[in-house]
Amino acid sequence: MTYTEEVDELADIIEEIAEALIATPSWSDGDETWTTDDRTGNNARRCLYHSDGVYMALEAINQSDGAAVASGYRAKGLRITFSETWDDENHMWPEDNMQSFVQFEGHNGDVSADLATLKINHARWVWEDGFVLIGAPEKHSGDNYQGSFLVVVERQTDKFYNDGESNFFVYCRCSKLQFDNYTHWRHKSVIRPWVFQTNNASEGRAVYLLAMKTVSGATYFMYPVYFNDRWNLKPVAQSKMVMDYDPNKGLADGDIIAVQGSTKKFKCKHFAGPDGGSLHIGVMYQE
Amino acid sequence: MTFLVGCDYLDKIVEKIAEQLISTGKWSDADSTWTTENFDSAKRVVKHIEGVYVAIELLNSAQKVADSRYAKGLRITFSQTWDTVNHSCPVDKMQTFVQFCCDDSSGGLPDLRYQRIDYYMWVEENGFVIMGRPASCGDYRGAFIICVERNPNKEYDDHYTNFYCYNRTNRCNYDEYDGKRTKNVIRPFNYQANGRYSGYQKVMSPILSEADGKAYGVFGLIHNAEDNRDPIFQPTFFIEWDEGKGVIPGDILKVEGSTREYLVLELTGSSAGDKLRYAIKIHD
Repeated sequence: MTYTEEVDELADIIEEIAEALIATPSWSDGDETWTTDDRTGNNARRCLYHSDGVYMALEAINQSDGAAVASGYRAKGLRITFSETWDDENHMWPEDNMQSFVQFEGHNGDVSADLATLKINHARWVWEDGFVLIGAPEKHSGDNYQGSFLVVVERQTDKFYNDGESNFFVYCRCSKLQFDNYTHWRHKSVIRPWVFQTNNASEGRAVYLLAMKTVSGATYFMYPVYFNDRWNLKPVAQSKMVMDYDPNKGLADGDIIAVQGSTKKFKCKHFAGPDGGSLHIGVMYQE
Repeated sequence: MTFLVGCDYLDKIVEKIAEQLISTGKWSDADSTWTTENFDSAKRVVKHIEGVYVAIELLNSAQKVADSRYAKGLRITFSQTWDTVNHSCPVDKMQTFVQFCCDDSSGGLPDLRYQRIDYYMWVEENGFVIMGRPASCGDYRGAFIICVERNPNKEYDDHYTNFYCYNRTNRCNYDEYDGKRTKNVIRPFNYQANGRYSGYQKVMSPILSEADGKAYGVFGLIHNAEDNRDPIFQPTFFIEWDEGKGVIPGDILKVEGSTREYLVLELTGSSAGDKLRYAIKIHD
């Protein structure tokens, strides 16, 4: 398990996440033809397979001009796809999937930045049960909808009850574009394989108490709750890899939150999008 | 510890609260001249062994609480001392007036001596919680909740008492005139605040899961500052609940791993106003 803060290209970040996951016993390479060697187009990508029977594909979407995400808007970024099978013949995820396109490099026109060289300032945590990635691209003058972004993929074994579904929970955010318009280029804020997916961040995941630091120095928090439905009527698990915090209540970027009674720690990270908006969250920092 | 449900006059309810507290052995009668024998001046004061006085007064004369607003109700006062000479609360105190009978004219308020109150009440050695509403009483008659709880499980030693008071009506909670102010949250003797969520923070309403039939929820937080920056303990006498999450009035919520139980209540007054939705303790 590793916590890392780096400035790197998206393809390298994908590679590092993939290799770190494969280094754990539960993950393996899902398609050896999917590599990050070719950084052109959408070719930098990795496919991971979890022993629970879940495929997770990570793609750097860098196609020329970006993908159309809405009328007049195009974007590049990270696409993440979950599926129960894999098309070995075409080396592609199947159409029966759940997918989110994290549109952090956007423009109301053609995207000019090349993700092969665009640097991304980020923090990440990777371990056997998934990863957290939060970051923001460096400013690129040719694009005007550059946002910070967050991706949380967690495998949760401590479900409240046996629901017969996967143990995976996914949470994605972008501080600028989050269009959910076109097939294969939709942003989905919450994915609960294989129950539902939604682009409403308050559906299927709820934060009841933002972490706060008191004047005495202690931090109080409650882990976010994941649900098995978008109406938040079937709580099924609590997040264990991130902690939503209130930046107006004593916590700031860089603060370390130690969980009482355990060795677990979280690091508060805040990233502002080059073109506005910001995201902040406590990222798992030590198990 | 006792859970009581009834319909009674306010002086009788004040008397019951006081006597039930005294019967636990942790409270004593603090002033034998404070009685409920005379309805219009019905009042009791009890003292907890930790040195906290709680005075409960029935105010049956119209109190001006705001412009064109008059109210009757219950006044709760916390103090560290007691004026045994004048038989009254000391100047240094924290106080809330629960204005559950309210009207835009003083003449519109009925005599409480003829008003029965439907109530649900839990009393134990650590305090009491009551939810009630008058059978009929003025344009702005309201349901109310009053919770006085001693919580020994503080997060840290803050040198204050272990008590808090949370109170609210669904209509009138004015904070304008001394002696007649509503303070929805009192943290003796640290602060008192007017505001539904000032010092008390709702966390997670119980959700009755459609998946496994269990209710999931988290008790609120009581803070040591009205800006909700210093959690000091969680209320255990009540939990606020939301409509539309599977829980309905009459449900009993059982706390897993314990014998504690809560009754889900929804009370409203005669006219418009938020419904008061709380589940209150009925079994320890």
